[in-house]
Amino acid sequence: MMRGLAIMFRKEWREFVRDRRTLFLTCVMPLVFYPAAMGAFGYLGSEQNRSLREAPLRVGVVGAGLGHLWQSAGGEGKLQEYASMQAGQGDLRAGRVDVILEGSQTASGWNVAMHLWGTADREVVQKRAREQLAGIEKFLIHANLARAGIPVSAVEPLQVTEFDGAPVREAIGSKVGGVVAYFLIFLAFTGCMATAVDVVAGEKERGTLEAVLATPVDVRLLMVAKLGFVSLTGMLSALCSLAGLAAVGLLGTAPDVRAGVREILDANTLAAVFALVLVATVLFAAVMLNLSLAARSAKEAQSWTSPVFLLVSLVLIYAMLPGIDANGGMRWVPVVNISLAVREAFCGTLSALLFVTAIGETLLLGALAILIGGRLARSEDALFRAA
Amino acid sequence: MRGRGRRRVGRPINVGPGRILSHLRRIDSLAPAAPCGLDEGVIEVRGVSKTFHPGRFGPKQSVEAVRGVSLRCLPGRVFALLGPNGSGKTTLLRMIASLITPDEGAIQVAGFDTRRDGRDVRRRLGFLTNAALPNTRLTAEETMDYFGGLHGMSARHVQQRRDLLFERLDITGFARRPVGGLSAGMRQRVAVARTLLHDPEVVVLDEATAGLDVLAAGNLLAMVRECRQAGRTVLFSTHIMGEVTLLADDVGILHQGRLVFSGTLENLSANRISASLEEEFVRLLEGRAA
Repeated sequence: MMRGLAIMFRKEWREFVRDRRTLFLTCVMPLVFYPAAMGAFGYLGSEQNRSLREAPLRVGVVGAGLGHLWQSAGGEGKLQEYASMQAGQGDLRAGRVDVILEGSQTASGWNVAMHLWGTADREVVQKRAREQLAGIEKFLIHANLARAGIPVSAVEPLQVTEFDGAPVREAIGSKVGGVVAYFLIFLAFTGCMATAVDVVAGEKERGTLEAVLATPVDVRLLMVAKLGFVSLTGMLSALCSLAGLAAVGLLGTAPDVRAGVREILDANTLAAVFALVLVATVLFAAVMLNLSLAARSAKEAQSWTSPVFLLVSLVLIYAMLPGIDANGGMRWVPVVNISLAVREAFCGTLSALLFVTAIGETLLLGALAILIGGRLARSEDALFRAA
Repeated sequence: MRGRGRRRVGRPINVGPGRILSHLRRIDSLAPAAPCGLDEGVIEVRGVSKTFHPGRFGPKQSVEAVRGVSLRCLPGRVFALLGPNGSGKTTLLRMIASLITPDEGAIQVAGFDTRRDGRDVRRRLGFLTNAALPNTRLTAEETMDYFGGLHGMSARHVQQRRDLLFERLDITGFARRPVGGLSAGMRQRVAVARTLLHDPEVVVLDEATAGLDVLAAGNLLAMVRECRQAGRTVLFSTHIMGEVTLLADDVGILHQGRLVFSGTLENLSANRISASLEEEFVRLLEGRAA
């Protein structure tokens, strides 16, 4: 039996390594493209954020004395004075100023209106303008208190100092663990999808499956070999992605992040993540093979696997959202629990209960899918369904 | 694993000493098989019916693909199964190759029941369809290694058979090129070598010349002749009368799942009413339809 499995497995492997398209999809993309894209987006995003944070604020002011107040209070940035709000509206729309402050002095202080152009690209500078206004407010309060001879502590009785107790590993794991979990499981899925359609529906369409079935080989053994092979390509895809992402984390980040990534990649975490992704991959492989077996042609198989692809993508995106954790019902939702467990493993906070639940439930579902596949593999209608 | 012991407890039909010798021998060439009595059918089909029912993967309505067909293919002879498209030829051949199971009736191939001893049947049978071309990303050599392994042949035996077949079929020159880059005729030759690799007693061809050019089809027909000379039983389906007159010893005409004629080619030719065999074929089908 093992010899038969080895023969079938070797044949699938030979075909796989000669199919450049599938090889590119399952190995090159996860190893190079996705991590490089993620690294590039991360770098460009942080650079953009930095430039927005560091660029001088461009503040328009309308109203006598407001510009003077801004400068006296130590407000940053370049000031542009306008005679009226209408005069500055064009500059605000065109982005020549970030905000326009329109204000007038009253007996008790100042009434200030902040005019902004609420697009996503200006959120950072607008936040900075708000912080500057808060600073001006504080300046005015302190001045009033000084005039009245009241100490500042009378209005600011609470002094808060923040201490972050989270270990570097947990801090980094919580930030990137969700994204890495998404990539690992998503690519395990696409790795299975890329080969499952070809090794069953494709072979059925090309007639090569019928030639194999005309030999004394046991069809169930054949399907076991195909399941093993499809699972292997799924795992290969996930591991390539992990290797690529780890390389980005270890080479392309700040030294403190690098140290955190090194801490995350310990043997226990990797073993737990491997086990979690493996069971998910076997489930994906079994489901994909079943759809491929039931389809008349590779095209039909692709049209059946596409909705599953969308469903898995949505489920994984949901699991990645902030605030979604394994407490309560989420522990029992298939795929979501695997994704959450992978994230927790990267944070170093994976509980035994979540690990066992995620592995156990996925294994059960995988066994069910394999059972259905066993029935399909004996179905003449499914095997010899003509396109 | 079912072996010869299982065969004894089965229901062998007319298994003489010659047949047993034929099954036991390890053939290393295309040498003639051991002779069999002419009354012994290597393929025995008895009252076989097959209906495809509507279902999850089945047709939209019930299709009676094969209805009460009985036929016998004698050893060392070529049996042509003739019929128009949709007459049930492929279904019948798949049942003979134990790929699908008959609803009624029984089929025995080389003494083995297709329903009970499917693997033994497939061990002794070479099955080739025009659709089942070799895997395009493997070379001809790798294809032979793969199929030899599936048939449980040793590496040495595979190599011997491969070398012999490659020489006979003139494959050696392109044996290490991926099949996907070969012409249709070359691919067909690789498919033929794959079919004959395990030295089957019975060769079943399902419209194997369909879609081939004249040269490739000619090569395939030559292979059928060679199989007959080597004492193999060949059952082939076609809808081309020319192939039948060139090759067949016996003819069965299938129409709408029923066998409307079964006999020798001489018999069909001698008793025909029409001017030619083609016209006789059409007459038989139309008569049946009427």
